[in-house]
Amino acid sequence: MREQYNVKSIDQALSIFLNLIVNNTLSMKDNAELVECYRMDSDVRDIISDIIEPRANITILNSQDTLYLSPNTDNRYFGYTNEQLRDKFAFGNMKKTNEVIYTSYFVILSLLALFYSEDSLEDVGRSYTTFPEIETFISTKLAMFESMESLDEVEAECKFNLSSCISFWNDLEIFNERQEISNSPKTKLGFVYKVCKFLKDEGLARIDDNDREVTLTEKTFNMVNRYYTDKMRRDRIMSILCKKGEE
Amino acid sequence: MPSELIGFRERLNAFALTRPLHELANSTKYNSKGYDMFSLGLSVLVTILENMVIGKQFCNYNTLFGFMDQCLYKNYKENLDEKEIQELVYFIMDRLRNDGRPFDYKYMDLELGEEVVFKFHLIQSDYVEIKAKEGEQRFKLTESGLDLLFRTKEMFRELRITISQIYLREQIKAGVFDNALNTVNELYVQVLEVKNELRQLKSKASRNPSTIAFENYQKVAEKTYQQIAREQEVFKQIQALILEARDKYQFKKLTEKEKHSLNNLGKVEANLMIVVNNHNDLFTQRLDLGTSLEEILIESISSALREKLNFEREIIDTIISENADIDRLRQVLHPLLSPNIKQSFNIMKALTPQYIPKSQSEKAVNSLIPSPDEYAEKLALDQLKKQTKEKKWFYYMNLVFNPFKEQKEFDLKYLLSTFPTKDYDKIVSDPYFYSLMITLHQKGFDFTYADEVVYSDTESDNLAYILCKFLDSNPELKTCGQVKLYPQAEVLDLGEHIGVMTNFRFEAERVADYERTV
Repeated sequence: MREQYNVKSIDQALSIFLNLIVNNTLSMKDNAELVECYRMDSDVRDIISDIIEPRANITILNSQDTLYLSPNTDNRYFGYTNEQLRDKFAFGNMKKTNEVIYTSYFVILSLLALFYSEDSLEDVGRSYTTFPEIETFISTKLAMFESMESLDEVEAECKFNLSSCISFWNDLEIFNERQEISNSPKTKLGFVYKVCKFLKDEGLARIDDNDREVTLTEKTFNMVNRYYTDKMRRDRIMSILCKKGEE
Repeated sequence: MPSELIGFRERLNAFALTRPLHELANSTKYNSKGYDMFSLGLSVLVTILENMVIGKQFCNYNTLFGFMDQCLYKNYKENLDEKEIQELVYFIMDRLRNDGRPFDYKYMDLELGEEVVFKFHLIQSDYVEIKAKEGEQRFKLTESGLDLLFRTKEMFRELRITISQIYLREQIKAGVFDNALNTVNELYVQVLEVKNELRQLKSKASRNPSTIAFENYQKVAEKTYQQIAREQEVFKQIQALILEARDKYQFKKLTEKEKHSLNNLGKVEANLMIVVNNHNDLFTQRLDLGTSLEEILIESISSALREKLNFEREIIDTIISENADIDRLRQVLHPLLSPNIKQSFNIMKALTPQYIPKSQSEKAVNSLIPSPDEYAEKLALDQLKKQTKEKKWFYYMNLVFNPFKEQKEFDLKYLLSTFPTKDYDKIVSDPYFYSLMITLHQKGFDFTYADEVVYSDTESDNLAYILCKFLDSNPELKTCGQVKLYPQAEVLDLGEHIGVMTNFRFEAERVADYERTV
């Protein structure tokens, strides 16, 4: 880290950061000058990578003409609180527990899994999936877990985990074709739709006009390809997921 | 290696493109109906292509539902209900799109002696941004999809634009403007495709630089630039040819056939202008490609440090085997979601100056703004103009839509014959008559909606409101459903001072028909 930076570079680095925390993305179209600063001015980049990123616990991802802000996995300053997410995903008079958040996370990861399978980083990738396919994928995976986990062990766990997700998922009703998918959050298909709608509002997914197909946006492709494929970050994610034994 | 096998891979790839259609033909779901699924699949691809040309609405599911409904009725005399049509279209589209996954065709490349997997999509979907966050889906053919359809015309992809330009030049020289118009429309699709290819090349390089060698990227960029420069030169020559051709029609009395040709030549000229503008954009994209070279080089170095991540096997299956708790899932997904900054309210905000819209605060101080009297006068004048325009529209709606009380369709020639003789000249030279015709041609009118359109003083025209008023006084016309104007080949001479006009066909898609197609 350098001892001194000039005021102009600090000003530009902060402007980039502030723009990103408000809008999440910063493209050449939004503000070409700031994006160019990030790409061309090594002082600005140093201030961001040496001071702002570690302090704010974020990563700024650079993809051609757009910058993205990504809160790091253990970031406590930014991101949705559990309460906010419960409000987003809960429906009707249901008790707002963390089961609903866990299940929503599982739906999002399943959607990513359908796009990022074995060879999905090749240039020809999957272009869309449908709500019924996501539902089937989740049901299959949860059934796989049920068949391998002993119920006693599950009950011994105090935190919300996959077993709580299973009971929530199984309690969801079967979608009736006469219903509107957008208006039936109590069904499995309707719940998947609700989570995808949240991703749509986040600019991460798109849903077609007939409420049938879901696709990921350029933003998601860029963020996934930049964030999760970094060797260090990938190792960290894998260690987070596998630390059961260490606790 | 025998020379006969040179280019073996390209040949097999070309065959592979037809495989989705063969697989569709082999599906058994509609066996009992006796549909030719190969033809239906191909017709869906052609419909998507047709909707990619100039002036057409983009293709979405509703376009395909409408097309399929008509196609089945015409060929199989079948009247399927809305749900059955949807099911059939979804079935065909899912097979032609392989449920969103790329088609992969594995074969032995006998030229190089290695096994090859050829991956492709035939159809892609885009989302057109209409409102701030909402997007409307539309379908387009991918490079492979276009390849498949253009191959039936025996054109090589790299030479498509050049070959079309040659066709166009010859068609203009020979005065065959009907065909020239088709060629211009094809050129439009081809130019857009090159634009798309360049955009995809850039996006592919940024997403996954390892798939594109730096030298290759440079070579493609340079080759593209040279080709674009050559094509631009030819476009200039063609535009000069059109001007020459038009000159031939100047200063002489035209026969019916010549009027028709001149009319088509005008369309060729206008559409070619759109094509040339799009083609000029390629230069900007090319410069963009050039400046990206350095970044791609840097990117390809850093990508060597990246690793693939299989979400299903490495994330989902690990969650299952580890029975991961909610915090771990949150940490995995956290980087993807927005920062969601907590908003806070400063109580002192109540004492800060309040924002007053410019229109109210600046009126008094800005000397350039007219005085209240001048303003009132102008307002009254505008109001008068608006009322005149609306009265005229109401009158013209009566004239234009009256024949629908008796018939489902008619043409402009017939309509003109129904105009009152004493007012004929006044009507056909009135700009408001033409503005109604243009709106009708561009948007069509929906006679079924509109019970609650509210009159607005600020709306510049209030056409929808006038239409409602008109329908209130002519309720029997509400069954007309969608009313549209379609151009026909014939051109009408409206008199010396007015000029020529296409003999448009007025068509009402009656409510029953309309409901069946929607």
